[in-house]
Amino acid sequence: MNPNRPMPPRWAENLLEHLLPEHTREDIVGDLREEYAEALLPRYGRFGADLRYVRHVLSFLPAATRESTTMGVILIGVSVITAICMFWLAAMEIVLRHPLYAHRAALDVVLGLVCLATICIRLLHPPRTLDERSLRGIGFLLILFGALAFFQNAGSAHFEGFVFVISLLLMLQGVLMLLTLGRIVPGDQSRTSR
Amino acid sequence: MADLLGTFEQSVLLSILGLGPDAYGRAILNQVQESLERDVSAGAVYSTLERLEASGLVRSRLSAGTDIRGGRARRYYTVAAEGRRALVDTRRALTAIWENVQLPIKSILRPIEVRR
Repeated sequence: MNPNRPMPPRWAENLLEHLLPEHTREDIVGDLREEYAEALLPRYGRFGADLRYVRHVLSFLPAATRESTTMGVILIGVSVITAICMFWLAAMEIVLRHPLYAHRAALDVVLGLVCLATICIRLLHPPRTLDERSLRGIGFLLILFGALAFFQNAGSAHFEGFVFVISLLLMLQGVLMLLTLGRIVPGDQSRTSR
Repeated sequence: MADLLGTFEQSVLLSILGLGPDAYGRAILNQVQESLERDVSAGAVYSTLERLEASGLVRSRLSAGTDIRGGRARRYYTVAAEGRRALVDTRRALTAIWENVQLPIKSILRPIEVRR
């Protein structure tokens, strides 16, 4: 191999190799390396070519997350941590009895239960238990709760590092849920039954 | 009877047919972008190719790699008989659906506007 030959970003190519199943890895990585050297680099220059190459690599992410169990394992891990945090927060609210503690404790318990539901759904294989729309709904709900907690905490005078971490975990959990449980179909690929 | 093909699937199959013996992944990606006149991600094309192959509409074979690819093999695709049939069926169905529609399509929206 010629060491002076233009190469796509090494990290992106490694990521691509990681995302692809073994039986298609060799040809797709080769195709995109060829595309990078022969089309993207001469047309867009180094920076533009790198960006476009990374975009191609990221386009394999939805399929990879659907197929691999890695993201599912991460999702379960994050859900467990968040569930523990939420139940712990609920317990603290009840012990400390700040104003509106009952409402906040209830919300914490609900979120904890959502996390437990996420774990159960993931373990039981979602298509048999809930439809795609419900799963997407739960994912978006988690992102929404996470974002609300994040911005409310960021705007408050008394910044809570713990709430900050939980809000990030909730958002991550929502995104992982959408990626692993929902079906993301690129473009118009559906086949309509006659 | 076979299912109807989506627009993207038709574009991929027609690109393979158009490219003939040169239909490998990268060439198909570029051809699809050209025919749809928009940027298409590699993931969309390759996942479609994989699905079409799994349903028996296309076949693939590996060939030797080149230096620019770091020696990695190329996968060439051909449309199977089932794929050609699916294309013909889809075209026939679409033609039948559009047969009685007069263009410009605005004219068939007029009754709805009148009702308002």
